[in-house]
Amino acid sequence: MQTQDTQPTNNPFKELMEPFQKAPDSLKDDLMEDLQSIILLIEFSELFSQNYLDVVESFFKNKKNNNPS
Amino acid sequence: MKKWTQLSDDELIDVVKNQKDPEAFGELYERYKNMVYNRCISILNDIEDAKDLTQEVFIRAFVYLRGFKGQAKFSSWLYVMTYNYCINHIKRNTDYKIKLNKTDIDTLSNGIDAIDDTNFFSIPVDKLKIALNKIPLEDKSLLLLKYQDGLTVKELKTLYDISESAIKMRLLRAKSKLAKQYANTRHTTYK
Repeated sequence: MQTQDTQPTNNPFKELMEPFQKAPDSLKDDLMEDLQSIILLIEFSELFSQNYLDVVESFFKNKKNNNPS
Repeated sequence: MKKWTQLSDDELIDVVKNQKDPEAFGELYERYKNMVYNRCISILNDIEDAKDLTQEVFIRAFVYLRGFKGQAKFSSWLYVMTYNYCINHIKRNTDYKIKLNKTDIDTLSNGIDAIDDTNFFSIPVDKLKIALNKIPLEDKSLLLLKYQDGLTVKELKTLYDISESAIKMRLLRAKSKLAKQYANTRHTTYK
């Protein structure tokens, strides 16, 4: 079975890479704002013994509903 | 106390896990934002979606970091999360949900011909791009993780949480599909 981890130097997959683009700076501000909400949700769910993953998924659903693209 | 920039990924992850410190996570974000953003662009071909998904991938990484046990590098874990999240995003938008199916490998028939990597790498880049876009996204992402991002079978096994032989079989199946598409598109002109 040919699934070895060694790869030849002329690997066309590497050449497929898109030209590098820098992530916009504004993304970090939005991320940090969302993280504050997520941390609060996790802390609340821990306090009330809720599954934090469910709570976080609700956060994403609400966010999408409030900002439909 | 050390500055965030002086800490290793593992040290930052410990701080995030134990203290839920957003600033420590912000440092991880700084280290990997461009990697995630560029991967999103390459999968989605849409800058606006790539911005949204980059943000969502990092939020999920923050949430799921509790489950990260350090068997693989954080960057590899993040790569796989990015691919899976982008694929799910695409499929959700076409009303088709996917999950990483841990047992589908069992249904594969035996006897798929092995494809030698040396021959496989002789596919011209333009034809490879066309063929890759014609195979299922799960197969495409697995091949890119392996051959573009350089993840080993062992890392993939850990990250996909399936056996090594299952990863090898998936790779083989993906290569087989790619080879068939290449055969079909051999005479296609790249645009």
